[in-house]
Amino acid sequence: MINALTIAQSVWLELLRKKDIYVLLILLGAILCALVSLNAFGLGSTTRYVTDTGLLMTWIFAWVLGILASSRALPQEEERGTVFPMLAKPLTRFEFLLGKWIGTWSVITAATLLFYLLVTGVVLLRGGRLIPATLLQAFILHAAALAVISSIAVALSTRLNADATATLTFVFTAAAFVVVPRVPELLAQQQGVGGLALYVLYYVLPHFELFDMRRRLVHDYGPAPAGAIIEVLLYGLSLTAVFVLLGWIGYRRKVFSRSHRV
Amino acid sequence: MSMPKITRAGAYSPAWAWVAVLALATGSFTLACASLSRDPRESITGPMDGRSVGEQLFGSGRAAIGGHFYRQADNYFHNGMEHVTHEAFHAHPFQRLGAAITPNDHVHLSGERVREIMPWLWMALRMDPANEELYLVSAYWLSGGQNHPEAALEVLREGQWNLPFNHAIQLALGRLYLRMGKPAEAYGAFRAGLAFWPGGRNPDDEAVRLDHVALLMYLAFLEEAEGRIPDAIRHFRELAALSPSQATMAERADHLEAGQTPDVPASEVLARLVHQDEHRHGPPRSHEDPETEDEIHEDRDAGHG
Repeated sequence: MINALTIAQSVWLELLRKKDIYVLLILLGAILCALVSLNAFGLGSTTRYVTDTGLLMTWIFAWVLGILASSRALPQEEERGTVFPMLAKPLTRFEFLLGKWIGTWSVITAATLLFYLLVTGVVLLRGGRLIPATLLQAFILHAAALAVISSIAVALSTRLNADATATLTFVFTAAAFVVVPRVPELLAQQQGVGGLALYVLYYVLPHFELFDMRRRLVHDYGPAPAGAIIEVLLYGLSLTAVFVLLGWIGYRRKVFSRSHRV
Repeated sequence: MSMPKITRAGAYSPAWAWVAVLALATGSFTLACASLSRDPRESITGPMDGRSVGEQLFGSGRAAIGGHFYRQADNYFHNGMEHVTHEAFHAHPFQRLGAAITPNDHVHLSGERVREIMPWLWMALRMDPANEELYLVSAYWLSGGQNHPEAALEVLREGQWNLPFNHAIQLALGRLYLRMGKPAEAYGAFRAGLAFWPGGRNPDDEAVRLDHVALLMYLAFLEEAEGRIPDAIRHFRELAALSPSQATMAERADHLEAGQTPDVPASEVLARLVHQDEHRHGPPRSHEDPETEDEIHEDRDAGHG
């Protein structure tokens, strides 16, 4: 585990050197400033739309950042050729894979925390309020969703290059976000082969809507039941474990080509 | 043999590409917002060519975006709950867990909390200034729940500008003027609304027909209150021909023709109509509380002699 954490630390240093997180943070701040400057019908301050839009942008930015960071983690090492000295050390491939996943997930989660802090600060400055317990639950479930997303990208990157991994992960997770919650509604109109395909999608694709507490947070419903939170976290943990395991299966016997190196 | 140039894979940071793309997106968004605040009858290419910059940039997509913002306002009114659709199954574990995480209680915002829907209505209006319903709904909430009749008036005037010859907006304007204690302005709006009716719509459509009934009713009682008896009689008779409760309106016209004063004066009927408008459950033609002829004629019986 120490080895994995050491790999994770190197991922931290690499990702923090890049400017992606800071650019997104600035962009989120600009969007929030534009939103708070809006004075609809001269009514003065309202905050739900700021919270809603800010959290939506947080989810989108974290999603994009998570996939781009996770899809590059392993292929970069292979392209640079640094994977060879890395694996020559007393480091198993599983530890290497796990370290990459822990590193990317923790950086993305930290970036997401910054996004949440920014949105919360803007909302509070505008006179709105966010229930702290609900906010904490929302962030924890969001981090769990990011764990699943990053594990999917890392798993795919064991066999694909960075671009293909990113593309496939975007499509896979976008389908999970958009299609899966609507399957019960679509199945009411779709029968036969189409209906069967929808059923398969419903069970195969991750249910990211379970991790999304934006509506509860924006509309002041209060904290979710602890039992539901734990169930969702266990679901996220199991999905993450499955994808990390699949990644390890794809990585453990992979033969690395030296053709990309100088 | 010359050595090939050594490059570090991944040395190129895509951050500047990010900056360029995001700057372009932000600039486009800002430009769109700025263009949407312009008079929709002007354009950067020339005045009064009928298409705004926003329309030229987004085309018919504006209406779709406006529709999305309107649905958001509706969702916010229902405290985040989206409209229930028919589902093939309801008790799946994923659905149970989803319901625990994201409640779907049927709740309506009320009082000051209704203010939260206004930014979405505002954005919907900016995106789709040709949508009559947005003006009516926005004005309803501004004048009623938010108690900002001046803001409601501004919205309806903007609707009047963007949708000239629209009878529904004139009807809403007239009602608002009455609530603000401006009967002369209200009369002008109702007369304009009646002149514009049906405005190219199907006159047999229930909502359009009800607008006609409302316009005639307000005009008739206003004219009676102001002593324009011949005009009032004419409109009462026209109303009687339209409405199933024709006897009442015809009776009132008969009383006025005979020089008699009805039991309930026109001013009192108008006050009751204004009170009814203030306590309406929903905006005009909302799916929750469609205006029926019975509601329009709630005080009809008070008007007969």
